[in-house]
Amino acid sequence: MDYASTLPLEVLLKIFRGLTPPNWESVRDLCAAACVCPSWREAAKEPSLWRELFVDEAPLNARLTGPRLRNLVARSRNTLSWLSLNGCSLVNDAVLSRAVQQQPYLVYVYVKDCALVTRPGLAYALCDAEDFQGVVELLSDPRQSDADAQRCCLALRTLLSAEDEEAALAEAQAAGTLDALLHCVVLHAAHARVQAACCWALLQYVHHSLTTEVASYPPVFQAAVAALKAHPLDVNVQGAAL
Amino acid sequence: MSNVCCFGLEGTPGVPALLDAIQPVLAALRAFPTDLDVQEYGSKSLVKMCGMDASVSEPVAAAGAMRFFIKALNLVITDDSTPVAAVDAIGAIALSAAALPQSTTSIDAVLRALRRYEEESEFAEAACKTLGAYLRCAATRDRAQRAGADYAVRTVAQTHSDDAKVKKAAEDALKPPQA
Repeated sequence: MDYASTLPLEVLLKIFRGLTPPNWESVRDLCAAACVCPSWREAAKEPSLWRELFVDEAPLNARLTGPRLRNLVARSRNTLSWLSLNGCSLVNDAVLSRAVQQQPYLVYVYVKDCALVTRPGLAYALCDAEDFQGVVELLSDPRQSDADAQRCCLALRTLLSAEDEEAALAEAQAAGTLDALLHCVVLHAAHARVQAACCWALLQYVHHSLTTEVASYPPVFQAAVAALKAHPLDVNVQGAAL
Repeated sequence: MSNVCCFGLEGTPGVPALLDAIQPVLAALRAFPTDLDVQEYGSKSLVKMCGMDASVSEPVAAAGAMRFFIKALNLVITDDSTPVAAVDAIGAIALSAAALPQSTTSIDAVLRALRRYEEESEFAEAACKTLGAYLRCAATRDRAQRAGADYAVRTVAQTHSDDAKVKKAAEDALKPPQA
């Protein structure tokens, strides 16, 4: 008798949640589980299993084409919150741009060693500006909506995570990135996803520990505490702020 | 938060702000008991905050942080960074007056986890430091010895005899108790 296919959906989902991040091979494991039988395939379609998408491991990353990425992203049914691509040599700006569109829950995008993805291109896909100056101007606009502010924070984090960290930080400092992010934390205090995206951007800013001035850290600490207090039940905010 | 705390008090707005941050961090640990990121970085933040000023560890212990660290340590997971953070956190508040009544439970939890992660040198080092804190304190030495902490530290030192950091932590742990 096929015991695997007789398991109730709730039990299967509970098991499948163990395959999701922080398991780095979650995509491979979930795809493999979906091939076992029709009931597992049905369970693996659950959108919450695909909210955090990490494509970091060979050989899956090298084989990730535009349609495959769109297919994986589509499984979250527009609830994607994390996207991490590492070594995906077939993914380019246009593909990534289409993947991150219409994702209102997205608070973290990490792209590394993807030869065809440029940071300005990705930033432009996120918020219609491709450098720190442009994104900071957009973020500082008081008419900015919560959703737009969230995407500006995503773009800033992306620009800050450039390979040449020192040059990126110098450019960020010149554009007044820290002030804009701290202002954003206060202005959009009630919006959890903006807080999470903003905290990730602040984390990337202070990550440059050797070149960032220590004097800029106390306000970041206060912003993190404020975010923790404002959204105690939002795991994205708590994870980012801590 | 754990990143900015790396720079000591200079990276924070001062001790009152640290004290103000304790409750939100503990609330996060309470709200997401199985989220490994929250548990790891929450524990790390509290360790760093305790290390910045001696007056911080007592309120952290008094707020009931020990039970969250023990819970995090007892999570059955394959990744060892969360248990390392939890053991460090137990060590950071181990000798606070408010945490002393829980010393038997926390020593047991560390010893149990040590059996699970015995091969991991980073965990072994952190566990030796925490058990050392209990072994070298007059108030907890007896409880630690009865639980077999000194034996566990010696065994770990033998297992990791080629790792200088673990060896040093084990030697420090087995030094005579402090007054």
